Parts: sequence; C-alpha cells; structure tokens
Amino acid sequence: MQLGRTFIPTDREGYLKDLNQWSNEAAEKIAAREGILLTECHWEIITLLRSVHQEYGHTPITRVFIKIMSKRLGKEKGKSLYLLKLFPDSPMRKACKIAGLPKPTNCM
Amino acid sequence: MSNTKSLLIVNRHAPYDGMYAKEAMDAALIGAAFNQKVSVMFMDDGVYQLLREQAPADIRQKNTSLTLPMLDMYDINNVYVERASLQARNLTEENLLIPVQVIDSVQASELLGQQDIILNF
Amino acid sequence: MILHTVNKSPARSNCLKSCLRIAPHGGALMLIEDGVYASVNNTKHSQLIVDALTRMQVFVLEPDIKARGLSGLLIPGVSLVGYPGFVELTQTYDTVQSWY
Repeated sequence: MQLGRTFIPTDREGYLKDLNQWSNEAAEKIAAREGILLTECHWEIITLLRSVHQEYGHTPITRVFIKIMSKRLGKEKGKSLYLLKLFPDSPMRKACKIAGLPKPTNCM
Repeated sequence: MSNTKSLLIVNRHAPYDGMYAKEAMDAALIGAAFNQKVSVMFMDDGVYQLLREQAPADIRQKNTSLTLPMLDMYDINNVYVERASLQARNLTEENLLIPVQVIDSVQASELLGQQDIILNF
Repeated sequence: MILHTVNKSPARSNCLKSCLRIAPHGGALMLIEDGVYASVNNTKHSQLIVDALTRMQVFVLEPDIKARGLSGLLIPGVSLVGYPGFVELTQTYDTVQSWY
C-alpha cells in the first residue's frame, strides 16, 4: 500500500504486515479501500480496539468486544448492530484491518 | 445445545518456557467462544504464569499474563491454583494478577475427575 | 476414576511427584516411556512408588521395561501391562491425564 512517499507492506487481504507502520493516515486509506469514510464513531471503535489489543495482547471475539464497548463507551453503543452499521458485513475483520491489527483468527 | 462439554486446561509450565502459556490461553478462550464449560488450573511452575508485573520485553517475548484478565471477559470464572504448588514457591494469592480459587490435592483430583476433556500445557 | 500417565524419569522431572499429589485421591498410575525408571527398586526415587502402591494401583508398560533392560529390577507390586492392556486401561478409566 502506497501512502504518500512510503510503501507499507500488507498481506493479500490488506492487513498490515508490520503493526508499527500504522498511522491515522494509513487507517483512512485502508478504510477507503473498504468503502468506509471514517467518522468520529469509527475512530472511537478503532481506538478502543487498539487499546484492548495493547492491554490484553489479544483481539477478542465479537461478543466479548461488544461487552467491552458497552463497558467503556456506554450501553447504547455496546450493541452488535451498532458495530455492524459502522463496519458492514464482517465488522471485527474490517475494524481490525483498519486498526492495523492482525486478522482475527477466532472471528465469529 | 447439548454438545456443551466441560473442558479443563491444565497449566504446568513457567510462562516463557516455549509456547505453552500462550497456547493454553488460546485453547481456553476458544473453548469459551464456542460456549464450552471451561475451567483453568495452574500447578507446578504453571503458577508463575500468574505473577504480577511480568515485563518480558527485554527477552523479546510477549507478555502472556496480559491476556489473563480476558478469562473473566469470556466468562471463565473457574480458575484454580493448587495450594502445594503455591506454597512450594513461597507464593500466596497476593502475588497473583487475577483472582483465583486455591484448591488442595483432593479437590484437584475431583476437578480432574469431573471433566469431559482435559488439555495439558 | 482417572488413569494418570507419567512419561518422564523421576530423576529429570517433577512430573511423577506432582502426579502423586493428586492421583491417589481416586485414580491409578501408568508409567510409560522414561517414566518407567520410577518403578526400579532401591533407587533414590523408589520410595515414591513404594508409597503409592499402598494407596493405588501402579501399572508399567512392559515394552518400555524390556527396551531399557529393567525386567529384573522392578519394585514388587507394580503391574506389567503390554500395549493391548494399556489400551484396555484407557477404556476402563473415565479420563486419562498425562503428566509430561
């Protein structure tokens, strides 16, 4: 993936190979490729997902991530429908990709 | 669904001894993700996995203890530690990162006996 | 009832000791591979099995005994079983717990 003058290696599906190369600009570019224009609500999820990954060394399954959303972002946002609206089709995969995290292996 | 099984994950290895700790944690969380009845037991050097303030960055390892609080998030509430293993290492629950149930050898034996599946790490 | 298997020599690993804290409370012991060294009589570690025998059955895998030339050296009271016997035991007991 070309970002300005830098080339950022990704795998075939578009996940960053080196998580340290992630930046807000990289996130925007990946999102655009997925047909998503990042809003404040998207960023809230991306930031949370990254901090959960940092904190626990693990990307949780959707059900558990929603529980965490509910705790940290408030109950009205802790819903799978909310996540699905922001990241259609496969929310955890898309959110992880945009957040520069590895593809969730246990995605359900 | 009737295909819920009881699954016990037994941890007997120190945290940076190969991949045991990480794989055990993966197995526990995946089991819970598939709605199995998961319990986790730590004994022998496995109890060292639970120590607070691990910082393995300088030995180029991932901090496996970070994932321990995830057990609770996945509703895995049955986390056991064998008392003799703690005592042999001069440890108490105070030294441990997450709340656990300390059990004696008779209870450990009962725990093993109650399981459909036991996975050893 | 649980069948506990131990496959490490007692001189090299704490597997047997750990197993013996738990196994006698409703289980039997099966020594396999280098675990069979624990069943040799009059060694530094023999007492573990001698004590265990007062509380539970102890089986040893005969091919592993033969392979290591241990046939004449065993603690009286341990039961020799072959591969078919081992398989049968795993079916008789509810679960198998392997200590390695």
